[in-house]
Amino acid sequence: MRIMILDCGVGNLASICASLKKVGAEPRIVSSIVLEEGFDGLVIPGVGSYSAAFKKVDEERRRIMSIVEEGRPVLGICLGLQLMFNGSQEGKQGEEGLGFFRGFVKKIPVKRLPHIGWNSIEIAGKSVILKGLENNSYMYFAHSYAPLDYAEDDAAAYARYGGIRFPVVFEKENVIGVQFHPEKSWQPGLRILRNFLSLCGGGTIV
Amino acid sequence: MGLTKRIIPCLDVYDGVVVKGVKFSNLKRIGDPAELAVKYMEQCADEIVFLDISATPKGRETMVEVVKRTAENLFIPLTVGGGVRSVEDFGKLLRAGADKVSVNTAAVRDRSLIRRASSIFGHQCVVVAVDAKRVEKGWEVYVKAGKEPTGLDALEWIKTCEYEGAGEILLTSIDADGTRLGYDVELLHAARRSVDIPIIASGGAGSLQHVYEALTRGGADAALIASLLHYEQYSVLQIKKWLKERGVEVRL
Repeated sequence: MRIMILDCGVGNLASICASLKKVGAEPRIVSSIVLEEGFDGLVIPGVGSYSAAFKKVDEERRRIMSIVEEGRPVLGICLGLQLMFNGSQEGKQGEEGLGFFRGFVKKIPVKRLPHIGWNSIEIAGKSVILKGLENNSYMYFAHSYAPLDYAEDDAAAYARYGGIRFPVVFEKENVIGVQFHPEKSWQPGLRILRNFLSLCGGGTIV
Repeated sequence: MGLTKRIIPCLDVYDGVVVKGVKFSNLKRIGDPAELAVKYMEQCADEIVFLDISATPKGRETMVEVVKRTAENLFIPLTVGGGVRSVEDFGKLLRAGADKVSVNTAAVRDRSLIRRASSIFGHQCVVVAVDAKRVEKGWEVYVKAGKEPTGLDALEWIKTCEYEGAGEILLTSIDADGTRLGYDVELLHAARRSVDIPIIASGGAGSLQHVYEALTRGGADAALIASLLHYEQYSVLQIKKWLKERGVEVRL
């Protein structure tokens, strides 16, 4: 599978690149989305600051929309997921997100932030991207914001932290977003990336 | 269920090779950083820390290469520190494949570095390493690998780091470091009460009980481990199983 990784200009893309290779993909880091050339899927990684990631996604908005409309799978990671909502408290007024998922990203109302480390996830129901994963698998998180306003139908898994339960996996047809870092979550994370690749290949996930 | 306590192996890297030694003397080569990192990942380590102790320009270039090689096969977070001075140093290490960068002396010299780095790369990848030494009243921050006093109160300093945008604090007790007599639990506890960002305990682990105390009484979110592993006393998995049996939430 040939997968594009959208470069938001700062931060570590080596990890997502290496993990996609590990599960058998051919990743390529691009600073602008290539609609031709037969890429099978797109990853919007969440590294760097909100403003840098927003700026890039905003520039690429039309091309991201085209990819989604063509039915090619898109995976948003961390900030990449957050940018798939209508907006975020972290952004400026009027900075509109991609709106693939209905809702709004807010600061998690707990004392101890950032939420950094391995947190178990509760799988809520049927999910393509979480296929083969055990309930309560641990994933690596590093964030302070999360989509606290959301449509329950879009959420596929939740995490509990500081007395709060919030959604961490979103899935709507070919658009997928995860709040944690699958590329840093070892085996369960690699399983998610493998599932993403199967989706990109149009195949069934076994 | 929920968020777990983390066990983080720390590898001292000198000119691209993992070394061990007591207080920077009698350095002994113990292996390749990329290979050891993967070995610890397979033992269920939660993260890996590389500390560049060569502190020479050549050593730093070597470190970037080491990080690149490591990132190809490491699927847990990697923090790299040692000799980081500028936003450019952050960028170089992050682009090479580090997930977080730790900064110590340079942040004390110019605290705006914390803010500048976190506003560009995100808070989560800025770790401020603080070396603290007991003084008459509280703890004092030392820099230059624990050799130079700064006059700064350690608890005030970590509050400043949090305010400036640090994502985590890597807190080393200079008194405990290398003694294998246990972490400075009082320091950890005081630090825990001073800030909300995660605290990684470092310096002094000589037994499993020490790790347990840092994570429970000390309230640390993670424990950095070096000699416990290097002397092949325990594997990461053994440490975590032992902790789990005693009711500490860990990932197995």
